[in-house]
Amino acid sequence: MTRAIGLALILGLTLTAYSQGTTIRVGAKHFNEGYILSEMLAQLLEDGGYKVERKFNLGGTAVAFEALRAGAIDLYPEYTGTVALEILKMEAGLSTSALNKELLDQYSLKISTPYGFQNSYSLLMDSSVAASRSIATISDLTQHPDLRMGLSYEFTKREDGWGNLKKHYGLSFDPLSLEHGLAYEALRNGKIDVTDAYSTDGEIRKYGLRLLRDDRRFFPEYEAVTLYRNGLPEEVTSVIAKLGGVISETEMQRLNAHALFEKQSHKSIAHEFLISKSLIRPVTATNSVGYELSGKIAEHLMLTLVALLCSIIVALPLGIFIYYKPRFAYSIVYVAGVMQTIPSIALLALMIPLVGIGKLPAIIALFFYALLPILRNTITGLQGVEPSYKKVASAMGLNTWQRLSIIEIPLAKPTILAGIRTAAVINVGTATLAAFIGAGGLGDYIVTGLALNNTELILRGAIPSALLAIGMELLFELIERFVVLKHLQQQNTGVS
Amino acid sequence: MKSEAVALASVSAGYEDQLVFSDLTVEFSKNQTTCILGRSGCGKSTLLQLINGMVHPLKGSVLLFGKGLDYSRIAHQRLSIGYVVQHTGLFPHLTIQRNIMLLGQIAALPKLQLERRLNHLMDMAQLPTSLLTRFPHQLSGGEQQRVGICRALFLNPPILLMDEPFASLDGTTKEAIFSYMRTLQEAEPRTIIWVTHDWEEAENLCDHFVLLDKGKDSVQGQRDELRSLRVTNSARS
Repeated sequence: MTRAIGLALILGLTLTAYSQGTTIRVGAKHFNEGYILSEMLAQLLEDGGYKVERKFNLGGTAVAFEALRAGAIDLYPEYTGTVALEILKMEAGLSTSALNKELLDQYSLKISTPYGFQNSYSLLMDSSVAASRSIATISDLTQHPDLRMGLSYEFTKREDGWGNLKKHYGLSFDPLSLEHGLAYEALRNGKIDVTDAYSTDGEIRKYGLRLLRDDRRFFPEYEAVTLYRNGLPEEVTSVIAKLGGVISETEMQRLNAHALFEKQSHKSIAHEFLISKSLIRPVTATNSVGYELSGKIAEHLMLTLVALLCSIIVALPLGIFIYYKPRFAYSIVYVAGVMQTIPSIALLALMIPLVGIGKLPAIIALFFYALLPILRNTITGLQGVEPSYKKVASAMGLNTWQRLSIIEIPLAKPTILAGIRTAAVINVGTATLAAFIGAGGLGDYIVTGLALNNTELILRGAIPSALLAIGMELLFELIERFVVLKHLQQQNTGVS
Repeated sequence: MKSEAVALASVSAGYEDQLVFSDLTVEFSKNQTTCILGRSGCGKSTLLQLINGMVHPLKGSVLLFGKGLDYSRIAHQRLSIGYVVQHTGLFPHLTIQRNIMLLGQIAALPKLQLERRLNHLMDMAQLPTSLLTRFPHQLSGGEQQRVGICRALFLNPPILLMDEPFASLDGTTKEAIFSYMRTLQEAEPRTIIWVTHDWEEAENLCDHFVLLDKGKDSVQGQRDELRSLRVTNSARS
């Protein structure tokens, strides 16, 4: 127990030490281009001598913007059209200075000089299908209501998305919703005919797809810019400004294609690009995959173990309390049980408005998940102690506390330990989802892999986390062998 | 009137609608062994539990050496009342040594005193010290019962309650334990209240007896009265 507390302290201290000094926290939206641009910003800042904390995997606009506003990150790449329509809820086509004024007034945020390319939404078709039906513009689609349309979740929900596009052009499709990363697959396999896309997507050139011209000018301008907190020091904003006007649309398409088809890491794509533009000095030692993986595993274990430790600290005394005051048992176990039924991803999402993003909300969510198994097993363990031992202990003259500490807890230990073991294994699994709210860990690979439809990346996270769960199970078996007497070990400790 | 070690004065116990005892008065003389006899269900165990405060009387009072039981500090009072049960109740997760020394450790006796008492008790019970590091399930029934007695006697309590302690032991083992009990009583005399349904056992060991009969008055007397009572009792049933 003391050793476990020590471990948690060390981990905690490492984290605090890390966040000290001038650390700039760079966020990223959850897609290829978002990652590449964020890497560029991160490397520019590192080259400028700043410590950078990468808080990537922030999902869509809502999460990334909320994180910025709450101060969980300092900056992230965004698009002017998104800023105008989604964030400020104003009409598109405002100038950069007008946007800046509104952002400053409403949220104390700013945008940088545009990077030089636009990534506007557009509709996309397979060029052979488009050619056979002679479709070149969005207006042409009105003549082909039989085409199957599949749109990304985000596009169906946006102001400048499907709802208004449909009205603007008088379209009559009934689109499917799907993950953007899967839309290209679906398009190439002929499962759908039309999808939404970003004009800089790497697939467009690679697959020879046709962007439909926005002939009635529905889509607003989407200049890529950096969105940042007003309070950032001037030296930092001048570093950010270096990206102004240096990336063209074709260059961005090329960079995206690199990430997508050559499986080059975002880090090295950004690095090579910045070097080619002489924006940073070359750095020789980049982190190896193995080094990065061990970092992620450490992060993953930290999340799991800190949450587990907190659960133990709360659930053990609570379980003992309930054992003595059984009239509270029902309500407390009920509340803990309800917590368990909340889907992990929903509980994590609920944490964002309450405590923002990062490790803290993830640990809180994992803490709630671990609570029930430990609590329930503590109660059943104590209740399951042979009544004659309790009676003899009382009759001998042991008071309540002595009876608990000398007789009941030691005899309930195997069951309590089984509860902790269940909680630990659940937490190792659930912690992979914590990457969705920027907590890091092995889930980072899985979430990024899902966003990019990259199986190798998904497995890089999934296999170690599965092994970790098995390892956790074995570890607890070992612990049980050491702390529980052989003749008291249960045949089946998996009370769950 | 000489001071009695334990006395029940007009005690009623049980449930309002189903009393186990009604208006029971019994006295147990100091340093004497008294057997409680009676059929099963007549309240023999309840009588012991009244004495150590596990059961509260509905009416009347329980006196130890002339003073009423103080239920507010009952755990402390029980330290002066040894308690031995049929199935020993040895704690399975504690070694024999820890089982025996448990009350001494709770009473925070100095180490030297703990060890001296442990050795003395083991010696009298004729238990080899090699058993000390073992766990209860590794001992024979007779050994377990001796350990149970050693544990109950660790703090040298003036009163010892025994609830059919030897019911599950075979004849030879029983004989050996009886002689151990006699030696013990000579070395450290105390007030022993002994529940049994075995009349022979009672004749063998007790100074006095109390015969409980459900719904009727109890019969109390000396050991020599027991034999004649047994004859009439068995003739009657």
